[in-house]
Amino acid sequence: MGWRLFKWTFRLKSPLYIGFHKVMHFYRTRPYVPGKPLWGALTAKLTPLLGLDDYQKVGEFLKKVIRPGYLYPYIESNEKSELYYPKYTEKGLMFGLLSKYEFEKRFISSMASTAIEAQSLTAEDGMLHEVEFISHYTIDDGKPVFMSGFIWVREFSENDISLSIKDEVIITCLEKKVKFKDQLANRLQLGGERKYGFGLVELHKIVEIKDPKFNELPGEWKEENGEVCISLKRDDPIWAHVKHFENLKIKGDIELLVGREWDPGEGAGKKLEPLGLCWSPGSILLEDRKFIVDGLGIWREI
Amino acid sequence: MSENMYEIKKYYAITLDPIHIGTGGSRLGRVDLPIIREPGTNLPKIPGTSLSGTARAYTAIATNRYLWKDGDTEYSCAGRGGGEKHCGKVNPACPVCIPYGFSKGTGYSMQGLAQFFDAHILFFPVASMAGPVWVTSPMALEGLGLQQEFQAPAVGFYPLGELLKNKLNFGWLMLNKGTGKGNLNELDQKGIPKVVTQRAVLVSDNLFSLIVNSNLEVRTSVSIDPQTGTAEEGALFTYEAIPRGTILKFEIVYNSGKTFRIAEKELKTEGNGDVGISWVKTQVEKGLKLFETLGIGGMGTRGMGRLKVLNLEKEDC
Repeated sequence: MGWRLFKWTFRLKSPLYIGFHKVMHFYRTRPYVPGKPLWGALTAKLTPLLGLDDYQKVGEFLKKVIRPGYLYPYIESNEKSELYYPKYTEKGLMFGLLSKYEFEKRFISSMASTAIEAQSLTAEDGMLHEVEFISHYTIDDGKPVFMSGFIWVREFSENDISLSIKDEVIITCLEKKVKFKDQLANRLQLGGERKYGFGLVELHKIVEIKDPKFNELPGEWKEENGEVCISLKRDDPIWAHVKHFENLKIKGDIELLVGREWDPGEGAGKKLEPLGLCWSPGSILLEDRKFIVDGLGIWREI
Repeated sequence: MSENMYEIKKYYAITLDPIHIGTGGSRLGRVDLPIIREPGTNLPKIPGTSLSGTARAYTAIATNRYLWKDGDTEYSCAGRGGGEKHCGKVNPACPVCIPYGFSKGTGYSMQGLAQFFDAHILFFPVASMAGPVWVTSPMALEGLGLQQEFQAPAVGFYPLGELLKNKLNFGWLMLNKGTGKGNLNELDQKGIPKVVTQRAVLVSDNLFSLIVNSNLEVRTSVSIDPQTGTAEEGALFTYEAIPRGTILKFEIVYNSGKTFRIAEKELKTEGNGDVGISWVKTQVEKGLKLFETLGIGGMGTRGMGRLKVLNLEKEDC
């Protein structure tokens, strides 16, 4: 038995900006956290925790031992907790029970700022910009905002790094042991503008899910040939990006996913890495389908 | 291990002047130049960007890196550094570029080892019939590491200090003393003036936002026409600010530079020492120290902006 499923929920402690696209000088955020920023945040924190300076090695290791699901805004309540994942409907794009407009009114805000020109102490020309973010308190009623989703983890060992799951998940490198829950996931910084305090999340809960169904999200999963496979029914929304392939019957939105990667010659974020055309989360399947989840959380054709 | 890789330091600061961090726009029915607020709570704050940018400029002043020459090349390690203005030196590490990050037009860039979080209001001064009182709320006190839960009456106030009155006015609002829970004894060592904690009162989160927003400093200014010495037509404007005497709290995360390799070079200090947490903190605190002299935010030439950070590691850094 390889992969095991966990549900994790974080409390947002500061605004969260997940880079989407720019409209003039307005930087839009995604309303959810894709797998890649999660993988990036775990790599950035795990590498020094293991006492290493090889971020690429740890990143590649993580791609082998985790399959990150996306995180969605979540409101915890005694009456009815709600996960706000996207779904295209006849009324347009909905997040949970809220229309896109209502969702943005409740969760999304923005902040404008500019750079100061050091020599004159005046605003630097052309530097005014506005960054959109997911607020850490709901804008209408001031409730704390959580981000919730799923992650698969498996036992694996390669060279000097290994991951073991007994009573808890532990990553070991030579003599160093890192507890996944208490040391790695308890406090992460996700997305952009981290230097200015954005994206701070604190682990609220992490529980193992034994059921193949997800409950809050449609579909069920099982392991096949060492891969995490998710089955969805016709009319279900996909809840991660699905890499475009020829014979997929689906309706929704399609986007070109491009990531910034480490460039050995130029440094961080200097290499543009096209991940290709993907169907956006929320798109609706027109047939029953099964997908495999890759190391960055993108769903692919079986 | 994590203790050696990063440290979260919580800072407390008092506004010595009103502080104006503008939104860059106006709000109908309010002042012409409003200050930035937290969505959700509607409480004014100082964003991490404003703290970081200002601290960077002041560290550059304190370490003679504001405008400097290395051979024939002129650098300015303050500011955004678009192009090649930041020196980006890693050995020995630049005391500005390494803690705050640098971007060079070509070649390597670095995020910076200090992460700045927004400054939030902890105690807000309000004039009352019993003299000034400092208002706070359970949400404002959250995350301070005080091992107790604070509870405020839904309507009314709970004295955290030694106020004995049964009624208090918070600006235009009159409140009765109610039942609550909590005390501030463990906060005394953080440099917060005793008068603030002695005159502190706890109100509910809902009331806190209302009281703060009703008691912000609002100033009106006008341009004077130099030819007539009278007010210039259409030049009257109003602006708001966080008032003098407000206690703010903010966090900075200091990361160690030991695992970073910039252009495949290790970060080293003068004398080949490690770029550890303590070195990064010292450089940043040199900048924070100057907040109390040179100020932060806008309207600096009109008597606004000075902010004293109360718990710097070394007062003379």
